[in-house]
Amino acid sequence: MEPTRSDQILDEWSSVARSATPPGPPPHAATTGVAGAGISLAGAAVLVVALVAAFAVLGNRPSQSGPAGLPTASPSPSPSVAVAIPAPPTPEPTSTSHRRRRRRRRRRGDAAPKSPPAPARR
Amino acid sequence: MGVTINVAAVEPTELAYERAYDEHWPDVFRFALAWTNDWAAAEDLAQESYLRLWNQRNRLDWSRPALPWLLVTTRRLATDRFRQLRRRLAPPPPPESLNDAVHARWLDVAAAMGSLTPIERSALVMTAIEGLPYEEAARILGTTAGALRAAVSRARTKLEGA
Repeated sequence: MEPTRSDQILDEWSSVARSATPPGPPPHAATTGVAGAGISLAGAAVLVVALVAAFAVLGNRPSQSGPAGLPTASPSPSPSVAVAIPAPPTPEPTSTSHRRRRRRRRRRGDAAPKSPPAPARR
Repeated sequence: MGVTINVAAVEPTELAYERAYDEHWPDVFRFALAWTNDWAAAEDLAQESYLRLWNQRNRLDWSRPALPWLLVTTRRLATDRFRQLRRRLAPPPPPESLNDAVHARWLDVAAAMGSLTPIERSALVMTAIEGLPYEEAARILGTTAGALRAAVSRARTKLEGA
């Protein structure tokens, strides 16, 4: 019986695949031969270089705070912000203080002044 | 002059790990090759599966066979979306472990198997080449025996027309 096309392909696949050999000793956690670990090492190296470059650039910039780190006067005054502080409300006379005044006036014989009309309630 | 190895200093799990590597690396590689249809990716996957085994060595029950654990881990790693994306962005170079003659044969076989899905290729290889029972292959591939039979049937039909 003649082998089918699929059997021929599978035989060839098996023959080729069985020629594979382990690439080396068994990998351990300390081994960094894996592509992923290589990428992370390269990334760390790039990060270190970028940090060094950033520090170098910042170190060469003229200092804005003057010598010895003392703050200098800014060239333009900062705009002041006007804040309206409301005046504390004056205490309104209570009804008890009105009575006391009336009593005092009666004792003195004064006529009681007309009380201002009460504000219309909304 | 013989070389003496201090066996007592090596942990039992470490010995079991080394034995699993010696005994099963070809099986793990072939499974990865069937899934990916890519020689370099299969080597990479097999190595990464063994790294996982190394990291888990103290938590595993070594009285049970290590191969099913390795194959399931390989399948999970292979289906990782980030891995697929990375390989698509950076196609791997031709594998160094292959000589020219074998590489040419591999390219022909890979082209013929390229029309199959990963599950169809793996199902066919595991049952027809590795001789695994359908139930066990289905467990490793995370599917049912019925679905696996259907995948094998589809794969054979596709290969006949290849």
